[in-house]
Amino acid sequence: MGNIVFKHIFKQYKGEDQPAVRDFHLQVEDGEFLVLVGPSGCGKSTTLRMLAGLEDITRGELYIDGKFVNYTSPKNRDIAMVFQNYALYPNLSAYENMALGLKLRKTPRHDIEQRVNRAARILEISHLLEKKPNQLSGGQKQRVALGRAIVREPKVFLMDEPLSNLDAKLRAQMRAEIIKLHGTIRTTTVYVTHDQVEAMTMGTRIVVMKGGVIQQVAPPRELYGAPANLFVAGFIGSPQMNFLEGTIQQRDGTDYFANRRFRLPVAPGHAADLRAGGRNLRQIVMGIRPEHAAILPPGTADDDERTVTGVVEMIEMLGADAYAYVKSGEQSLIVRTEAHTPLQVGDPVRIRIDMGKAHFFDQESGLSLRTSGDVSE
Amino acid sequence: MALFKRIRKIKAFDVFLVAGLTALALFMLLPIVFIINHAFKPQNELFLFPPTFFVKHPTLRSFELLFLHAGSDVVPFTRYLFNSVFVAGITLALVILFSAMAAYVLAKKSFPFKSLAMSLIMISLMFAPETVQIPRYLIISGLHANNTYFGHVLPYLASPVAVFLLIGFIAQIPNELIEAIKLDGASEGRIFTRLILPLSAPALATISIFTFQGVWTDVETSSLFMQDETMRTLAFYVNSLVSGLQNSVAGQNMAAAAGLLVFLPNLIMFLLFQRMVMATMVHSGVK
Repeated sequence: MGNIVFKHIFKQYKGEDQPAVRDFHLQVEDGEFLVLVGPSGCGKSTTLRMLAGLEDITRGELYIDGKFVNYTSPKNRDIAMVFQNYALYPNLSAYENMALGLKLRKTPRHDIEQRVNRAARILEISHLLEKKPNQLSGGQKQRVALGRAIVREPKVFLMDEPLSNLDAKLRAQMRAEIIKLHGTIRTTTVYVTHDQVEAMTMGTRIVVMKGGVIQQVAPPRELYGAPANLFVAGFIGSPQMNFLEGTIQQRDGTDYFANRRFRLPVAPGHAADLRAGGRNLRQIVMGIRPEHAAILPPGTADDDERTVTGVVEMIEMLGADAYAYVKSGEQSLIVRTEAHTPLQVGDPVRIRIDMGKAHFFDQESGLSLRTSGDVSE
Repeated sequence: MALFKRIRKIKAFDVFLVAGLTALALFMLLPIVFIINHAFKPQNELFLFPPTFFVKHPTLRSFELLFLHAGSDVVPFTRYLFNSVFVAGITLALVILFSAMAAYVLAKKSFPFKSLAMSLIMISLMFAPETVQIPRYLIISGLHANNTYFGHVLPYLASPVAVFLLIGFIAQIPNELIEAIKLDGASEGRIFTRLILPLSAPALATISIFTFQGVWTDVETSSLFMQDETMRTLAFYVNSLVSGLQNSVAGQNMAAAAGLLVFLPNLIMFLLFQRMVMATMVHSGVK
């Protein structure tokens, strides 16, 4: 029903040398919740607006439900969009806001009434239908905006950062509601956000973009566990992955990741990946997530090779967890610890790194050199 | 106690401001008080010296004279009244329509020579109406619009002030609203009638007030383009009444009553629309 095909889509704005979107090539299955995520200016909103028909497509082909829609006007694409600033018609009541799209499409009146009331029930805004937008709170406005989209029963929902105007608590709540809503109505949804937490929690698949180019398309778990390049690795996850620069050296038949300060044995499962294809192993970035490093309790035996030493620079308390920022020479490392670990700023610590979970990237191209998933050390 | 506290909070400057502005407002009110009272004065009071503000023995005699006996030769007073109402109504509707359409396009669309179009409108603001009287006459007579209602309406249709006011206003309407209604299935016409017009209501109210005042009190079209007395408007008639009958004793009643009749619709228009002028609600639908 509502599948979307992007075929090598380009967007070039007049008077700019670089295209805003470059070779966007992707197929979205019916019922999918696809999230486009990336820093501002990465082309995610432009892509969404091209899909909506609000921007022209410079090159490439776009199909919605098998139909070529490059030159179809927005109203004939059978899509509905939710905007960041809600974009409710201020002169109309909540009910009229939701009904207008149906009215303009000449839907019979009893049908309109039924659909609006059903949507209002789902979104729990039945008691607000008579109110004008300026009498509604931010969260209520967003519900009405969602209602306006779902009463149309379109093939595709487009959402352009719909939650970024809400405060943190409401955002988390609405996030859950949108996921629930998608679970109920199962309409293909394309959701744009710059918030990687939103992307990770909501998407069935995530498209990470940067500079108008797709960096990686993957389900959340895979995106987190096997980032395709340095950008994705740094962008997904909070606090972000630690990056260490160094080279791969062989000693006594074992591969080591080494730089001036430390020498860490590469897990055997990964060593084969690194050796494959005769890569330049002199410029390597190793990535390790904060939860894959641990601060060893003082007094632990000093015989583990997979450790790095440093000094605690800052501690970020989050409640159940704490993040310790450890300075090791020039390098700063973020390590997750339990909140009750007795740590003080200035304490010298040893960090044990789970090398089976380490990621390796080519420093020049930024591409991941790891083809196997996590392995044992 | 609370009252006492509130009184203590009032500053001397506030008192000065309120008193000063009230005095000014009362002073500005005087002509209105005079014009209303004057219309109801009997003949002998009209000629009192020194003139009085307030009427002592109100009478409707002036209105009776005006409605039943006045009129130049063959044209009854009501014909002038009808002409004025008709011309003002049509002009108002068309000015709103055309200005809003022009402003919507200039504010929200991009097209070649847009800035040239804007500058031309800007330039047209600089001409004093007197300077364009002759070209206007040539256009009207070239179109054979003399002695037609079209001749009354045409000179007012292009209103640069209205267009400018509306461009500023419509530019503030968030683009997302227009995009939202587009996705909702609206054509350009529907975008204009369902979204742009309702959201521009405060600006349209302002335009209505000054356009109506301009047309209602205008004598130019009647005196220059209308040779047929039956096509002339109330403002022209009252003007000729006042200026032609300066020394006539009998005409003063009619002039006083007619003065009130010309003034009243202006007042009504203003009272009707001033609340809308204050209300700006464009941004309540978006954050």
